[in-house]
Amino acid sequence: MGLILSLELLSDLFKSDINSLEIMKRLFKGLLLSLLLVGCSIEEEPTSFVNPENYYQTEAQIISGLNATYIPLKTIYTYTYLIATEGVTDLMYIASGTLDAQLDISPAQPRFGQTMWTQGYRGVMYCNSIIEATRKAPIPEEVKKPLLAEGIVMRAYYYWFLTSTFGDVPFYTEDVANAEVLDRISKLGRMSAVETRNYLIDELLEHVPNLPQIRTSDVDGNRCGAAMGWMILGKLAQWNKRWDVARDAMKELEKIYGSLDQYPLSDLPLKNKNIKESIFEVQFTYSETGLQVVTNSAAICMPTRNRDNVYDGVVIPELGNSATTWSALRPNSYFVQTVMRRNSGDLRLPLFLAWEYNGVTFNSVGTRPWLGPKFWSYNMVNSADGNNQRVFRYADALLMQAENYMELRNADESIRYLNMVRKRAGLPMYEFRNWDLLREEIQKERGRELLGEYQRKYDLVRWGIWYQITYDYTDYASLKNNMLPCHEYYPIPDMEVVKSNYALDNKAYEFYGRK
Amino acid sequence: MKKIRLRYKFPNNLIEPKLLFVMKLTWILLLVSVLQVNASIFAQKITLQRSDATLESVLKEIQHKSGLSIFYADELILNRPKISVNYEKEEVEKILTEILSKYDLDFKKHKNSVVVVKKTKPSPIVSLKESREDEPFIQEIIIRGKVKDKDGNPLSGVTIRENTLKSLAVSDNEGNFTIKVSQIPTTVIFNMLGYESLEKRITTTRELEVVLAETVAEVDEVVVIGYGEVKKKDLTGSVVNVKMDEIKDAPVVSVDLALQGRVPGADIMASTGEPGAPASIRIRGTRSITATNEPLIVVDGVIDGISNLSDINIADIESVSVLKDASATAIYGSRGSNGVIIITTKQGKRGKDQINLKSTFGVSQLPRKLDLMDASQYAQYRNDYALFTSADPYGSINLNSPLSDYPYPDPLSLGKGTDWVDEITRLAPYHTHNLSGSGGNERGNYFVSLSYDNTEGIIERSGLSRITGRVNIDYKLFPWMKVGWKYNITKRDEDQNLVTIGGTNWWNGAIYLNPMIKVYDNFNDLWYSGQTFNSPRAILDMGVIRNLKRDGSTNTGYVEIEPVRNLKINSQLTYYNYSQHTFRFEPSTLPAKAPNEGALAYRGEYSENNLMSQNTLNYTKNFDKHHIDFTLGFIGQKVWSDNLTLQGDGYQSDAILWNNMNAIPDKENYTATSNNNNKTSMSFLARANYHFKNRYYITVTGRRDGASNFAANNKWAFFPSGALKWTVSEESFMKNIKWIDELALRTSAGRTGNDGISSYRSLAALASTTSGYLFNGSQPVAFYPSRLASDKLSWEKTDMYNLAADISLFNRRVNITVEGYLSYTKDLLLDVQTPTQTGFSTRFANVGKTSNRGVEFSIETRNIEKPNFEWSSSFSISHNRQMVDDIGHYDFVNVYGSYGNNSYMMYGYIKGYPLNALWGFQYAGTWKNQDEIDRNKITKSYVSASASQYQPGSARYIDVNHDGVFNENDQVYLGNADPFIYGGLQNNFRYKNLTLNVFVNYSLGGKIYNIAEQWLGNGGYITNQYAYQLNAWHPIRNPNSDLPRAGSTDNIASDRMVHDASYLRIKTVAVGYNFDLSKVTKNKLKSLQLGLAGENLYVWKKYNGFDPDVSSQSSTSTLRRVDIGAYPKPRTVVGSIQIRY
Repeated sequence: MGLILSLELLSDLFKSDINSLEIMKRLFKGLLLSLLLVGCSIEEEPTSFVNPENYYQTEAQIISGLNATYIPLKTIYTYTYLIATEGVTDLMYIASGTLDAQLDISPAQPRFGQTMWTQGYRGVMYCNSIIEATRKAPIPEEVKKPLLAEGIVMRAYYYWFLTSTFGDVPFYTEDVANAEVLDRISKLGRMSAVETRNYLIDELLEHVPNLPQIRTSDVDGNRCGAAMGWMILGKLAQWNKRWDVARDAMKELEKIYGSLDQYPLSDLPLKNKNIKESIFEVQFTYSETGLQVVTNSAAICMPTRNRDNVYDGVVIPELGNSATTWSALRPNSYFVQTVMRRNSGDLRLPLFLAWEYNGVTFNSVGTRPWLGPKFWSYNMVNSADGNNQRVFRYADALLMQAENYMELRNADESIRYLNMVRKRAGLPMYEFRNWDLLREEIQKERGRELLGEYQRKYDLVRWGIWYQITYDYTDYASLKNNMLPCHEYYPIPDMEVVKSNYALDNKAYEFYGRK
Repeated sequence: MKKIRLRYKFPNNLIEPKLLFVMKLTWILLLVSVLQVNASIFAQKITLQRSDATLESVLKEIQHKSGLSIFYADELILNRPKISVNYEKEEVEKILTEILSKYDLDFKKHKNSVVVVKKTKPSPIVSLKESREDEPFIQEIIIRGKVKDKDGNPLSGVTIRENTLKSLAVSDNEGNFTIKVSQIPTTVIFNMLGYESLEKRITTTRELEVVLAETVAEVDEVVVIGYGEVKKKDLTGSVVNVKMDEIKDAPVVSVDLALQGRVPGADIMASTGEPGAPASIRIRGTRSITATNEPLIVVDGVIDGISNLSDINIADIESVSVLKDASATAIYGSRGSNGVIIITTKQGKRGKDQINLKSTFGVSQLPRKLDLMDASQYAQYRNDYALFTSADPYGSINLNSPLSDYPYPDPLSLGKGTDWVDEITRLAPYHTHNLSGSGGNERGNYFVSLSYDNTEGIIERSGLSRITGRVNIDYKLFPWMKVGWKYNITKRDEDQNLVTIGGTNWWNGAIYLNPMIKVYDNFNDLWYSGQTFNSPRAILDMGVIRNLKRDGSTNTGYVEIEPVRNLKINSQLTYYNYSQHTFRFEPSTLPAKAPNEGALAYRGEYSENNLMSQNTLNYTKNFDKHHIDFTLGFIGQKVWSDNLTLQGDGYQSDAILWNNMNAIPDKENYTATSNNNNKTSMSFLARANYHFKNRYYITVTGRRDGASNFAANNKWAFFPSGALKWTVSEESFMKNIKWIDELALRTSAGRTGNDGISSYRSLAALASTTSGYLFNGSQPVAFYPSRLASDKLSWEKTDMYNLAADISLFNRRVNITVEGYLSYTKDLLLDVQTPTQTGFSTRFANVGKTSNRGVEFSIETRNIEKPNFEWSSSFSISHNRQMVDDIGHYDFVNVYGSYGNNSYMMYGYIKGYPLNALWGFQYAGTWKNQDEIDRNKITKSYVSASASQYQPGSARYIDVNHDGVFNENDQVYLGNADPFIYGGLQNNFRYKNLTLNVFVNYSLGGKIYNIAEQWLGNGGYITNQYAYQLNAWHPIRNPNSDLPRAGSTDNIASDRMVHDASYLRIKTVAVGYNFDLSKVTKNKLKSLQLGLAGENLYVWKKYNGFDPDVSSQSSTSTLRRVDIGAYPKPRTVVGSIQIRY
């Protein structure tokens, strides 16, 4: 009432003034609104975001949820992860300022462990959420099944990553939808990695068949498909020493991928993206004027740039003159003298290692070569590496199959698979002598074939030989000084232990006095 | 000096302002002696029967019965012999004449009032009717003159009389007066409510010029409180009324910076020294952890009517009230717990139209530098680093190596090198211009102003320009109705900082950069193995733009009606519109960009609207000795905002800036965001005041708030408060204690809230991104959970208790206020850290309790009051202690952690410790030799951060639990960031027309981390170092040093980096001189005022950073005195000129 009155009076007051009149008009509208306001509701209706209840109703919406489950991979697959998996092994070392390289880590100083822990579980949470949403979504079963399977494969990947990195970790599949669930999950302590893997194996066995049985390079968008599912299944089964399960999974892969002959070695350099042999690659891209989704792994895989396009004294025009090179990942003497010798005739050598380029020898390859063109990022700007990073590829699966048959004491089959890889590399066919030598040869072959593919430390830990072999063969004194058997797994960051109210622990580190 | 106070008496049933008005009018008319007799009122007949009554009570009764207003000077009426009267239906005029003549008194009348004067002639009745200026029996000595205030404004309505009491005059609208005196020399006395009375000896008939000083602590000072105003003496809550006089000359853009140290209980600090940066204000401490701790700002009764205080031109401000206790703030309900600052803008005053023009010019500069290494010093340090490192290319250097093997064989030849701080800072000009006009008559008044400020930043290419305009109009349409309109417009144009002096950006912050890098070089060799980077100079020179334009306008219309006497209904409607336009550009030519990378352009558009309707009803009633008033109100508010941003990367032309964003080479490189936010709230409020004989007061308030942002199960909140006051000095037993003018005790209790839940915060949400994972070479949208639902979220509640005393002594020349308070906050909204195994790193919940307790003391004195010299002072001192009483089931909440992978808590909450506690390790010097290290393996006295730190020269820390392990168990409490006491001292001097104001503020006892020392003083090898690192450990040169050796950086924050944050600052010095131009210019111009002011002139401190008075984390609300490379506060000196017309 008073408002209406005020309006009229004010209008009278300013009638002569045009500007004021304009303002009065606005005021008038405001006054009317104000009257409406009194009857306004204070209920809250979101206008610019969605929630799990009202979203995830269609296939496209579910795919948008699945897309998110890949996001943490971008943060994991960096040069630090490369150091953590390859640079602290018998194959390579790196005199880097990144202290993960000398295992100067502890629960209180988890270094890259913090990132791996956070990103790994972020992936798990995203997967749990979208798996739950997919189950509830009102879409046909045949549409739903592959979507569900993709979520389950991604979740299995993250748990494989977490258990391989940290050992026993909390395992849950529940969607953290509200504070009550969150509180419950917060109190989970370490859980048996073996049981976790067994659960995942069963789940994968149920769901992977629901995916189209095709190569990953044939999957639209190079998403995680059946190939990735079988591969993870095999990896999990190998950790649990369920060789038959692993064997069957690799058989499924073999059905999809067929003979290794169709996959040339020349495809292997990382500049070739989504090669047919790939089972999974983390996608990166660098375009000067366009999209830049990059990692920085190549910055530790190239010869030191002196100036312009001169790299360790050699002109390499392809590498360009704007790359930033950091302290490089270098092979240990053991690797180049014993595992992959320069004169071994291995066809992988010119790709994997570099003593020279275009016939010109690098300055500082007296004791060891640089990593070869397989790892280089061409025309890199600063440290922006746009190469895809290989997670798994078919040759890995074949070597796994060789291991499976070796463990199942089927020498012929084991050697048949081992020789598939050796044949492509131009190495002589292996012949059986005894089981130990076969095991050793498979281990060395994995070292050669998968050099720099984020695998070595996991393999060594799985075989139980990581500490001894790394200690024996590393050329890096700081690493040798620092490393302890407990370093086979990263510690759970101390802050996480505290935040879990000490439900988590780092007993192995406490044992060695490295809290 | 005997003070004569002219008092007016009035019937109880009339309200005061009306009376004042009548009184003034009376005098004006008296002056010109146009005596129009209102026959009817003086002819009315009343009955009056009293025996043995005082003259005062008799006059009161006449006043009451006749409706006449009777004015008199106390000394004429008080303490006169008693009288008995008996009139039966007699004319008022006759009664008055008869009674007064018995006392040798007379009266002059006009309309409805009379003024009692000393009888000047034998027959008053006759003379009244024939009175003329030239009364024959008075000696004709006429004195003319003019009365002004100290700013040169004419004062109308000043009574002027001869000390013989024979003659009386009143100044007119222009301040002019004419008085007839009986003889010369004589003394005349000038009196005016609100001003000091003045005696002047007159020896000649020359024209007089009189300046009256305002009374500093006037009983009738009116203080603005929430939804109303009260006389200061009737105030029951804790409200500080800031004197605008003292701060109006401070060369700052927003008023909050000028309030620092002046309001007891308000801890105000600059968030940064960047032009236009708002201050961070804490009233009675910090209580909330994630919700805001900034007080509610109310401008002319409007909440959320400005975006920040820089929207208001200081010159437009009439008064600032700071509401501190629950009794004062509970009326603001869920917004009140952080205190309330009420700003009232100027209204036109009745009288001649005034025009005021003021211009200020000045400069600011970086007040001091850090003691960092120069190039030759740093080269020596790098040589040491080369000795200690085993990394290439220095691996082969050892103690026996010749200097020529070191990377810098001749460090001294490098000289000073580049001083990066000098390279980016400058002497920055400042100017501001202000034009205002005001005036009014009985029916209406107006105030208009226009101002322009231009404050250049001390960092190159930063600065703020601002235009503000204001129109305030009030108009009385009918005696019972008033309408008004207030309009404010603000346009700000800000060039934000492009480069930083400090900060945590160790790779390009000026203090961190290697002094050996040449100014125009763009290669940072310390960054990893060296990398091209955008040097600060390149960023400044290459055309990077970060511009923010902000426009705000407020329209408030109101109507106030008084349908029956004492009942006022006010309806106010406000529409506030704010928009923000962001422009950013990074050209393709930046050195660190790839050749074809292209330019980056960004545009942001944000608009916010606030529509608020406020309706209040106020009723006041006095009966006998009782006074009661109450206020009821309803407020509805709707706030909505829209945001749109677009960023594109890769533009191939630097010329078009952001003006053709579709010219993008690849559409993948767009990032667009848009969102909308709505909030609706409703409030009902009520307040009742009662007092008995101005002695016993009680106030009760309540507010009920409902808001859309509250969670579904908690939509409505109620906030009550109550206060009691006892004015002891009004008691009869105090009447004889002359030196105490006022002694009052107050106490209050109440609950207030903090609705720090932003809209939709209680609802679950999925976030989306298109910068996620690549599929088929593009980044399709990805949705992921970003927030959990929490339908129990509630506002924070603060219960506050207050006890205070107001003391006024020696004719109110000394005014003291002492207050003590306790406040308890519960249901703290906390972003509680959760184990990241849940996939979430934090969750939002009502967890935790904090408490604040403190005392405040302020004293204002008028030390010297002579016509030509005045000196007044005010001093305040406050103490506040804030504690974390509960943080749920968490051991600690890490609010700010150290740099590096392993972020140990530097600032954080632990139950039972101060809210602003500092945490860290206890530095124990360096390992001196291998022997010490080996021995320690058994004693476990010390511990180093990592295995590689167990080397001579590396830092070690006390192993608190002797477990040989370095972890958070070795962290200890390192002190409290809050000062033990803080406050300020203001001294105002006036000698004739020269004024000098000096303001000093201080803060004692707080601690501060020098966060930059994590890089600059930690043996680091990636940044420059503090010069003290030249004394770092070295096996030959300095084997006993406890400073960590070059290159031994361990990223550990320890007590070595904690400093005393105490300071004493000469904050403002202002000198002014006032020329009276009225004579020279024949009243065309009134006065010319010249001023010189300095801000932040000098600071005494122990801190080795720029300034301990920084709070770069003010946006995260809780942390105080955290120096994360805040833009240092500049020293500013300005000169001003002001002309009044």
